[in-house]
Amino acid sequence: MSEKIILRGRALSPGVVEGEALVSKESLVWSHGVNPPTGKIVDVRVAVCGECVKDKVLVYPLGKGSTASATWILENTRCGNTPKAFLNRETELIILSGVVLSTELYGVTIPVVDHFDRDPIEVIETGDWVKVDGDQGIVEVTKNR
Amino acid sequence: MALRLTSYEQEMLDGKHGEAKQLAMKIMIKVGEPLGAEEMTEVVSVQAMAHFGSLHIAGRDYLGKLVCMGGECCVPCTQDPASIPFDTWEEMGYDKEYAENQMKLCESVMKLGEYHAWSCTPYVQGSIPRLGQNVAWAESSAVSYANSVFGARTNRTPAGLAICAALTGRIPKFGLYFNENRKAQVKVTVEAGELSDLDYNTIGIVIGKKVGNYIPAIYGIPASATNDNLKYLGACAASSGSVALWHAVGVTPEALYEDPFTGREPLMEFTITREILTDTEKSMCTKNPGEIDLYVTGCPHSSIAEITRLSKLVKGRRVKEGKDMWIFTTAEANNMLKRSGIIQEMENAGVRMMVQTCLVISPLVGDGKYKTLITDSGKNASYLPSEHGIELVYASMEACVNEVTEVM
Repeated sequence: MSEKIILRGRALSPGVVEGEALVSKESLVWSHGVNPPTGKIVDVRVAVCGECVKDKVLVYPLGKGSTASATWILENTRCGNTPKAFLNRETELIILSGVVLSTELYGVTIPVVDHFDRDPIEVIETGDWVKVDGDQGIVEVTKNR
Repeated sequence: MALRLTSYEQEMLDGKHGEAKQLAMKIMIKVGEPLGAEEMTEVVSVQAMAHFGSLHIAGRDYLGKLVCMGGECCVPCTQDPASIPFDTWEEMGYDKEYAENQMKLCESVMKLGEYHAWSCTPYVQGSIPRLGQNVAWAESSAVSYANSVFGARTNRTPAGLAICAALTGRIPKFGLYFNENRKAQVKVTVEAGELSDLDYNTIGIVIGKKVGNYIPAIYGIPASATNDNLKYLGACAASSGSVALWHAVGVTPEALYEDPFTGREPLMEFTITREILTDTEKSMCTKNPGEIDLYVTGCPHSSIAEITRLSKLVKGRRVKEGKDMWIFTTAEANNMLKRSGIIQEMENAGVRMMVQTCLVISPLVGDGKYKTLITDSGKNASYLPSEHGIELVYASMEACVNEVTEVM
C-alpha cells in the first residue's frame, strides 16, 4: 500500500479533481513563462522548464513577476492547456484572477488551495497522485514510491 | 466570510446597471472573497492592459464581450503599451494578423471609454493619485511607483481584473489598501558613494532578488534622486522580484518623517555596497555577447528629461551603419519634443522613436537581424534575453550611445 498524506489548507476556488503532481520548488511566472498553445513551461530560469502543465496538479510556492500573468492563464484555458488544480504556499491575486476568469468566460473550474498546515512543496513530489477538494481545502497525496 | 456590499454595489451585482458591470462585480467578488476582502473600496483611477502580447485571443474576446455587454469605464482608465507601434508597424515588418488583433483590442478599449494612453508610465500622462488615495493599477512598475513614490494604494492588480475595476469604480479591499500592511519589513542600506542613473536600476535588481515580495525600507537614497531614478529603482525591484511597495527613507512620502518599521524589528537586513553593484551589473549581461546590433532604452517609457539627455549625447553623432537605436516613449513626450525639434534631429541621426509600445511585450522584428542588444534599463535586462532569445549587455546611457553611434 502506498503512503497517503492529508494536507489541509485555504479553499480559494472550488471543484474536486485528481491527477499527477508537477512540483516546482521555484516561483513560476505565467507571462512568457508558460506557452498557451502547448501548455509547456518555457521559462529557462526554472528547473521545470520543458514540462507540460496540462492536466497536472501544479504545485509551486507563489507567483512572481508580471501582472499580465492572469490573461496568460486565461489563454492557456482557451487552448485547453490548464492544470487540473493549483496548490501554492501563497496564491496571489494574479493566479486567482486567471482562474476565476477561466470559470466565468470558458466555464472551466480549476480548484485552488493555499496556506496549508504543511509545506506542499516539501510534502508533494512530481509524479505523486493527488486528490484535490477545492470546496473544503483538503488535499490527499498518494506517494509514487 | 461574505463580502459586504453597499446598496449600489449590490445593484451592480444584480444586473441593474447593465451586464458588463454585473460580470465585473461577479469576477471581483469571486477573487476578493476567498482572499479575505470584507468589502469593496472605491478607486480614483485604473491602469489596465490591452496589449495583444499578453491578452492573446482570450483577452481580445473578453474585452470584445464587455463591449457587447455595453461596458463603460466610470473612472479614468489608462493602459499599458501596445504590442505594435501604431504608426510604423507595417514598414517595420510586424505580422499583419498580430497587428490586426492589437487593433481589435485598441477598438475595444476605446469603446469601453479608456484613454488612448498606451504607456507603462500613466503618472506622466496626468494620472497622479494623491497620498492615501486608492487606485487599481496593473503593470508592476506603475504599481511600484503609485504605492512608493505617490503613497497611493494599490495591490498588484492583474490584467483582466483591472478592467472590472474601471467598469465599476471598485476593487476588493485587502492587502496594500490597509495601513498596517504597508509597514517596512526589510532594512536595506545603500553605501556605495555617489549614485549614477544606472545604479538606481542595479539597486532595484539587488533588492528584488533579495526580498521577493517583502516591503523594503531603503536608507541612503539622496533626496536629490530624480523621479526617473525612482521609476527605475521600482521597476527593477518589481521585475527581478515582486516588490509592490518600498520606502526610501527621507525621500518617499510614507517614510519622510516617520519610522517605516513603526518600532518593529526588520525581518531581514542587508547593505548594498559598490562591490555588490558592480558584480550585479556584470551578472545582468548574458554570457556570450557578440557585436552590438541594437540599443533599446525606455523601459519604463523614457521621460521628456531622458530623451532630452539622449539628444544631447547623440548631437554631432549618427547611428552606425548596420546598428540601430530605439527609444520607447509616450505619445505625449514624443509630441512635445517634436515641437522642440528634438525628435527630428534624432531621427536625422538615425534614431527610431518607438511610440506607445514596448519590446518586453511585443515581437522583436528584423528577421533575426538583432542578436546582441545593449540597454541601460534593468527591467529590459531582466526580461529580454529569455523572451527574445538574444544576448544582452547592460550598461550606462553614455556607454550605450557610444556603442551604437559615431561622430558625423
